[in-house]
Amino acid sequence: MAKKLLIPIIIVLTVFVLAGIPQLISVDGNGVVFNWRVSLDSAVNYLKGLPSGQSFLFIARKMPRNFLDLFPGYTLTSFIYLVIAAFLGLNLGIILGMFCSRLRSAVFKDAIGLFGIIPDFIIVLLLQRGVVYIQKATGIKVAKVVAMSLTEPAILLPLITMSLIPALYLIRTVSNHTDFVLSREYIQGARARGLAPLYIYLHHVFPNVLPFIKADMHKVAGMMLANLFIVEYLFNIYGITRALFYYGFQFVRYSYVVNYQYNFVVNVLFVIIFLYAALSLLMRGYILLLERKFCR
Amino acid sequence: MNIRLAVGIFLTALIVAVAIFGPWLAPYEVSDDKKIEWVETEDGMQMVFAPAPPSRANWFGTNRWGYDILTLLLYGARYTVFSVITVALVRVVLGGLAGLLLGLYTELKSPSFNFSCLGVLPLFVIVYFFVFGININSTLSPWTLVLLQVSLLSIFGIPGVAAVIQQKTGEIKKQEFVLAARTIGAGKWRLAFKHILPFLKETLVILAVHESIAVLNIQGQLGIFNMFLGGTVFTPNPMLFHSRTHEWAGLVGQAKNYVSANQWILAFPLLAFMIALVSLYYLSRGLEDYYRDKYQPYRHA
Repeated sequence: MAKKLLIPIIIVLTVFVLAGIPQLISVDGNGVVFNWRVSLDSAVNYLKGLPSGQSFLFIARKMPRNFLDLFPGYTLTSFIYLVIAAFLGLNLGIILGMFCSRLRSAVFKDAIGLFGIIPDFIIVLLLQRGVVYIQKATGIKVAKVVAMSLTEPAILLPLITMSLIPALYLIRTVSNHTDFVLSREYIQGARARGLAPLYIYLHHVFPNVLPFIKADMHKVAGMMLANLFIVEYLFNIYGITRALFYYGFQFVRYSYVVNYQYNFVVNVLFVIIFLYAALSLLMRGYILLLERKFCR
Repeated sequence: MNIRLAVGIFLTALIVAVAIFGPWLAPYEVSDDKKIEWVETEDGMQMVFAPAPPSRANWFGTNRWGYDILTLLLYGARYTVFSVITVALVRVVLGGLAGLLLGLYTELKSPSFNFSCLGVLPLFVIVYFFVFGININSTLSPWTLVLLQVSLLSIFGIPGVAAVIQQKTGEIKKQEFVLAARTIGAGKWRLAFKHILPFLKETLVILAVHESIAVLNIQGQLGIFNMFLGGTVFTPNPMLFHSRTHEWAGLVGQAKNYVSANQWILAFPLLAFMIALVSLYYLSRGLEDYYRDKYQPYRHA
């Protein structure tokens, strides 16, 4: 019980400490200085400004804005991308992973492994490059390379990237677990009773692979969130992580000023942690649903 | 014949060689720029503007300010390569030591609440928060900044390595030979370094390569967000970010918008970055194959 109470406290503390770090560490002359005072004051001011709503105000393009008005839109955008990508990635990863365990081809495993180490930003840049190449060669615009405005968002390429990351991870883990499950005696028993291979896969192998990947869901959610930062930034999607870098760390045009908005960053970090929790719960729920459906 | 290992060693050695001898191999000085020049073509003399496409004079083309991209890559390689190697080694040595001692002194239980709330945010975002105040238009020297970033990346990677080694140590600790050594009176340190460490050697070597790949990824992600290794030069008008050291992730990051026009500015740094990744991947796969073959039970028939 005490531990359960401790976790939210640690999360809140981590957010305040992390948000204070850009103000804490700076350079003065030839050395690094630590401004404990400034970052502590920021945290105190945030807490003081909570009742009046002062802590939710921030500056966007030289205009004062309220975080409470803007964050539902940003969060929803990010959440929709995450949910669709999670749905595609989970199903693709599980199906292909179970199928892959039948393939013993080294080339295939090499390809999956190689794909797995390619970082997300390279996948994004290659996809963008590919679309431009196709357009130049054939004149057909297959997908939008980058969103130019809020009303015309890029959809296809971000979703491909975002579902590819969990899918590749799941293909590897699911095929390993399928190998393990297939060597168990109850599969032999099922075979001996003359059950069809497809039936065994659906009702014996599949439900026994699911618990392994259910335990991995928080990891997958973390990977997808890391991916979200890159995808929103490179495709110019108006989501919550893009907002963090556009308004939290503002590089001001025509001046050397670099603005850091402590209150805004704290608010966004809380939203991101909420998104993570929601996503991993949703994915666990989905796996649970599959378990119910296929367990006999 | 282990093709993967051969390819991995060859490519990795090539990249390390480029990192060491890069500045001597470079066709131009790192400060040379050609904004406009007259070139003789079939149609007579023609003016070539920066960015110039790949040609005989500039194999990889030049960037927007006329700097030769091949030269920048050759000069920047040392920062990327040596920072990656250093971070991976520090992570594996310190994390391995911590994991070995933790595994020996504590009983293995299911992973409890460790860094799970930090695990929500990707590592590159956390590092971004740390370097934001010191990396942009910094008065520190590039090497100081490299050192700071290398230490940050090392520190954040140690818990992950330690956890892997702790688990592995816990497994080895249960084996009979450890019990036998303990029975004849071996102390904890002797157990750790004479009996358990030799069995961790392969894991540590492969882990070092995996960590190198992870570090390269994080540097690349930081580069996309304009936090370049060794410092970022930020100019507000026009709003631009430059890598001070021309490390590879920085060259990719600052060229990330050249997707549809003047693609060579992005393509060649990206290619170099990917060759580095692929060589490390083949090295790790090759090592896995090598160790598996080496320790496979001998077939008698």
